[in-house]
Amino acid sequence: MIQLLSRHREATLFLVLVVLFTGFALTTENFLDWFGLAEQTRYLIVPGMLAIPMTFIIATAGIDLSVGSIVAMCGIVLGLLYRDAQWPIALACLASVIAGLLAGTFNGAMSSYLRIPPLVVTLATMTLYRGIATGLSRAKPINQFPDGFVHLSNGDLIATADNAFYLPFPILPLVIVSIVGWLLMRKSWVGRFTEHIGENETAAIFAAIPVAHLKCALYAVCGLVCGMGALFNVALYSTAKSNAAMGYELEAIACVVLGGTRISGGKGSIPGSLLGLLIIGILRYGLDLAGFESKFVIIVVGILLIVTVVFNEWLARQGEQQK
Amino acid sequence: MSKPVLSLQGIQKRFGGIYALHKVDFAIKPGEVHGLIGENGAGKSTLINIATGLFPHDAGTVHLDGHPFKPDTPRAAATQGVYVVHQEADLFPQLSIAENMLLGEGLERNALGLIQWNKTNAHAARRVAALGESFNVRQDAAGLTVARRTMAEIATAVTHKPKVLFLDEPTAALSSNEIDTLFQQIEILKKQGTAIVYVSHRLNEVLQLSDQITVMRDGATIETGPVADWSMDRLIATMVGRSIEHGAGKREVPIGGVRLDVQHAQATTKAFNDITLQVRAGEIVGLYGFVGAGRSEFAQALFGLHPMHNGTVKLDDVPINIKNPRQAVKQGMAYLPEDRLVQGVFRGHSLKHNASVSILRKLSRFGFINNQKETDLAAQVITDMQVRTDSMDQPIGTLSGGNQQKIVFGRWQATAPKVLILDEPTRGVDVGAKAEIHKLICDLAEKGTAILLISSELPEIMSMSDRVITLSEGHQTGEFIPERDGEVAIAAAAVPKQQKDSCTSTKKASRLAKLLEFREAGLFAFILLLCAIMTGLRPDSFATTENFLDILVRAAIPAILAQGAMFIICTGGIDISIGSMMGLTAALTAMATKQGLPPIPTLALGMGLGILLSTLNASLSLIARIHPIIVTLAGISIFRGSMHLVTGGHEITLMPDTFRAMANGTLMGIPKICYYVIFVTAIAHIILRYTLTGRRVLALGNSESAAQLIGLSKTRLTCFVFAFSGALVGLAAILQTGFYGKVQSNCGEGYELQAIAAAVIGGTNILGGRGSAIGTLLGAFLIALVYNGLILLEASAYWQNIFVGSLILAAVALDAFLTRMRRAAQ
Amino acid sequence: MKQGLIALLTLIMVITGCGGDKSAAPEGVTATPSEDKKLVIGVMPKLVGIDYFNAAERGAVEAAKELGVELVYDGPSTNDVQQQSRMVETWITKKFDAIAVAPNDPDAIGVVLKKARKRNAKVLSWDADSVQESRDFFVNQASNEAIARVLIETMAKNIGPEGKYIILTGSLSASNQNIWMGEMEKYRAEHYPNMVNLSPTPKATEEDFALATQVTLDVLKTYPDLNGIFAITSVALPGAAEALRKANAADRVFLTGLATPTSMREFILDDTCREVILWNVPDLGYLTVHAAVAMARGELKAGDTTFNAGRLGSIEIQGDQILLGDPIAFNKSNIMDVDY
Repeated sequence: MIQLLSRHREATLFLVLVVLFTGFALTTENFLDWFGLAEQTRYLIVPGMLAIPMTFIIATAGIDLSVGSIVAMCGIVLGLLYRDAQWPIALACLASVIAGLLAGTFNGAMSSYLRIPPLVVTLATMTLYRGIATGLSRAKPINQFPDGFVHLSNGDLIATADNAFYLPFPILPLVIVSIVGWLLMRKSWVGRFTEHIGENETAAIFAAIPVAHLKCALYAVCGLVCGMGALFNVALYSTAKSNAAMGYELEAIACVVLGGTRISGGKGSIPGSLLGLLIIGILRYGLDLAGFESKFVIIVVGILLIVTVVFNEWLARQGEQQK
Repeated sequence: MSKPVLSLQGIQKRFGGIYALHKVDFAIKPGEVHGLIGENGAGKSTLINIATGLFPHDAGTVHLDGHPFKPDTPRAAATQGVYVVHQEADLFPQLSIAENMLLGEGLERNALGLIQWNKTNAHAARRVAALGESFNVRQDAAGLTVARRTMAEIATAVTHKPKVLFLDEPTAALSSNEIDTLFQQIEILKKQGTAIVYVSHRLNEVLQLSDQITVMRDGATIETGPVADWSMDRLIATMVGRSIEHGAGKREVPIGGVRLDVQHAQATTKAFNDITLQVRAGEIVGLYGFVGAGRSEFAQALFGLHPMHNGTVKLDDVPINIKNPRQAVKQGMAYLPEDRLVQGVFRGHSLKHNASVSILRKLSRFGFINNQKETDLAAQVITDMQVRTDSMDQPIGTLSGGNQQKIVFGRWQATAPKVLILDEPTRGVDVGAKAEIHKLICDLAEKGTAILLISSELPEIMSMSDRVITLSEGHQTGEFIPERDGEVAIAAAAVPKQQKDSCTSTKKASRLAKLLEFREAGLFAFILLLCAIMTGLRPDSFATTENFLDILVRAAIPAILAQGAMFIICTGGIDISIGSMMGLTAALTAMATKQGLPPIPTLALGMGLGILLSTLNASLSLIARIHPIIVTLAGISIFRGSMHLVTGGHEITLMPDTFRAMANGTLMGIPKICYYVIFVTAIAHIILRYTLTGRRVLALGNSESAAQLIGLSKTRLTCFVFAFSGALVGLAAILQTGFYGKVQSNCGEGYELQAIAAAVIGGTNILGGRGSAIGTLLGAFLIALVYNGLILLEASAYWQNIFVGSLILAAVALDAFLTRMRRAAQ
Repeated sequence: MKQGLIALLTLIMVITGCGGDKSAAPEGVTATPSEDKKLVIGVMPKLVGIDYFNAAERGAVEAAKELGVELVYDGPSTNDVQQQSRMVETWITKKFDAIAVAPNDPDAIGVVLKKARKRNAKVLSWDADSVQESRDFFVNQASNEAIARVLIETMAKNIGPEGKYIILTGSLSASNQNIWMGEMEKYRAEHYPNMVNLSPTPKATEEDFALATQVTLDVLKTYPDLNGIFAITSVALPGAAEALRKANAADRVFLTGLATPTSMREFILDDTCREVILWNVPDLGYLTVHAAVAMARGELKAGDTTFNAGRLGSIEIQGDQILLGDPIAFNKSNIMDVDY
């Protein structure tokens, strides 16, 4: 049984998800209301997108605490270019993505080439990027984005005529990012090398893997995805604001860790991270819906995180011992 | 004759399926120097490790003074008088030499248990002086040359007046003067009745020093006899003489033109000097030498892992300049590393992934791996190498060492290299696998690969090589044809000579090291500079006592929290939940006060709660063995949520004046809260600097393995630092409540970052092992100063965070830079 | 491949698990509440756990009891519009009959409030407004102009028409405060052109009491010729008062602003702060619930000019704003009479 679980970690998580889902469906009124579920997913998109590159970074035994701040900063870049510089919205979006890429590259270069622990680098840039966002925007919200842009997060992908059933549009980008992430992780050498670095960095160097370049690139791409996330975050609230995406870094990390990627690196699971996202999302939504006050909800999510990580580590060690 | 002080009989030791020792009988008498020699991998180190308690043996008996002796740890062995000086000294790099020498014994302390540094340093200096050395014992161990590190270790061991002392290759890094000193020490110890086991590849030293000599080979003691019975030639012959099961050796294959041509290669580190060699297609060139000969360093430099200082390398007549392994592989080189576990395998990953890693990009199109091709490759490797396994998807860590090695070998064979460098390809591999690997090497040679074979096993070198080049202490000492010259000549050329000038210690290091030592001074200077600038800009508002006290007050709470955070970071951990923890503690203590609990019990309650919550974090992280960042990440929301729960979402206001009096108001014109800061900083400073516990905390953060060797308990130290931090969180919570008179629901939010930032700016190494209470206080002060300054300068509040973020980044970047300078200077 | 399938399955599971849920839809269609079913009203503060919104909760609970409706009063633990949006989504799903939100960000909350209206919930904003088209009414504690006028007049009365002042706000991005500061500046320029705001960028206190104290201490040194301080949040004002008390500066710097009277009681009593401006906060909660219920029952519609709000009597409606009344100045004479 233990072996089965340790080998199919995602299946375990899926089981947890199904149990949670069924539990809430049976006990909580309105839980199965399609509108509620669909609208909730809109709020999971950005943390979910961040969790994908975060999975890679944690798989190399690194961490990026600055993702939330990058999202806020890129959102401000987007907003200012659109509103003040009067750039076309598409161009402003591109600039946001590029700003994310630059921010990520800076993180990567500091940690890979100067060899400062990523925890410290991104702890500092978390403050720094948030500061830039505040400074550029003078802490004022930027709004009045065009409808087409707002639909990025608030539109629907498909909908039946009576609107009884529909899929929110932003599911599409999350699915695309996830599929790309999954392909990279499982099907390309990038993911393979990433896991090798996390498992044994010395051996990775001896095996001619370009460790420093690859790590730097991972942080850069993470920044890029943050820049993309910024588009959806701005669109979701139709507002660019310097205090946006507060705490997304912890949310993304929680998803990844919940998904079975060990903080000590070596193995990353994109489906796991997505399942982690869904578990957190469903748990929070279900508890909210069942009328628990917000303070209970954060306690439960925290405890869930600890329990899962302890369980994961225990499983991993059981697996190792049996060999 | 007296009885043996230490005797080992019939010792066996297996690692996995392989016998490291299968028949060892060894005895040593008091006052005797017993030479122990053998090739690399003969089992000498294993013997030492068993005798000194690093790991248990599987069969046989060990007796010390006639009683059974089975130490659990090296520390236990040492308390009974059995010491060892390892060839690679395991030190705490960021602690002083004196401390490294004396920490295990508890340092010099006064009646209060506080460390007396002058006495300790003097003590250490005496020991060093006794060895005829004169280096500064206050210097960090990281600043020492290998030679001096060894001398420091020897000095430590000598002062214990041990019963038995193992010296494992003590002279490998020493200069001739130092060796003389060492020999004098050995004479003194001998007279005191210490039994000395002297392990060395330098046979002339062994012959010169020893009373008895034992030769080991293939995990067994072969022959023991008084020194008079031995000669250099007979030692070598016994050492290498063997041996039955060596495969067919090299097949005759046509030898082609020169593929690899190395001229005057020299390492930046001086690990090897002026090596010139050529390897032709189909030729196997053996590279033979003992530990410290520079073989692996040379091979790794060729492969682009280390920079080469000088010299040219040509591949198929084309000069190449390789800067990293990727370029090396592109050019057609491959290197099978020596240390399989550390440098070779990805333990948790499957066999297939381990086999394909080096040509994964060739198996990919547009970055995507062709699964079929990869499976085929892995299947090919498994068949070629005759790896015994059920499935290519099983983790490689589950295989035997031999099978692991075959996979790593297969990984490189698959790149179809022009030049293949094999570093100890058959170490720790069973006989069958060895023969298979040899066959594979021949197959590759047949295909025209030029092969450089590094091995410590002379028979392997003899049977496999077309030519043999010997290295000794970084120098090329000869070139031989195995059949023509014979093994004795080759071994003789590889045996290190005593004469060697290794006075390579650089003086450049010391100035930088000093700069680092006085990091607090640097920080202080920086603060003074900022203050000077501020005074110039805002003479009326900034340079007042009042403002100074305001900054202190602003820094107070973060400074108190930072001292705890500093201790945790010193062990290599982190706690990002202290802000939430402070909120919860503040709420609970404030409620208790409102219920009528007097101030002092409240203080005790607060600190107790802090200790409880923090220890909870520590134990979870220890028991589940998860990095504290994850535990405390969850702690953030759990503590904050619990706080909302206990307060019911209400602010707690109107704290009684008796309670507030603890923190609010002034005493002799200075805010009371400042006294707490000074008190806490002093306590933290004393613990860190003057108590054994503090030094052990640092030692743990420096090197967990070395800490284990001197018997430190990670569990206890981790719990201690978290408890200490928790107590300070409790104190901070009460002071905050007292000072401001209320508890808000967001009490403590963001303080964790300020505390960690203060510690890091103050010079605490985020990876552990170095910390400073004064520095931390200065760090907290600096942050408060920056905030204060920005307001006084009427700087826009919008840009504040940029300053703070950049400040932290600059501090750590400077730290990284200085550390690297120091490394480079060595 | 297997893992990919799992991910796909999850998606399908989520979709089908709920696609088959159309049986639940009719309930939503018959949204008109029958009188015998208890109305459910959701009231969301900017954040929970501060005095101001705790006081409002008392009034809200009182009104709910009076009217016999079920009240849910909950909000995020930090003043975060993301959490607010997510919680409103849940309330929409739970088919609350009326939802009243004190938004942390008017535009950002607008997106989800529009959805709520589309789903037949009655939507109000209270305490701070949301974008106009996203709500039916705004329960306004006092018009922005009135607040600005009372604040500036109080200051002018105490420091004279040529006094120098600065403003402490919550977070720099707090929308209510930004609007009030705008109105204050307008009113000052018009009526007291010689009064000076020494720092056009307000000082941020991040809803943190300790920070408010520290910032005030620094401000006192930065501007030695300072005559007055406005602190316009419930956290900043007591924080600033604490600083004045610590620095013994109450007699040279006049402090006023917006905060709950109880949080300022001790400072009013010892003359650190002589006047606090606020509206009746419990009444604001009370009025919000009354308005929400009236809307849900169809008694209050767009275009009405008055409505009856229980013990508050008839309340005037200006356009789409339901006005509580003018702000009240609290000082030694009346500070002990209120319990919020």
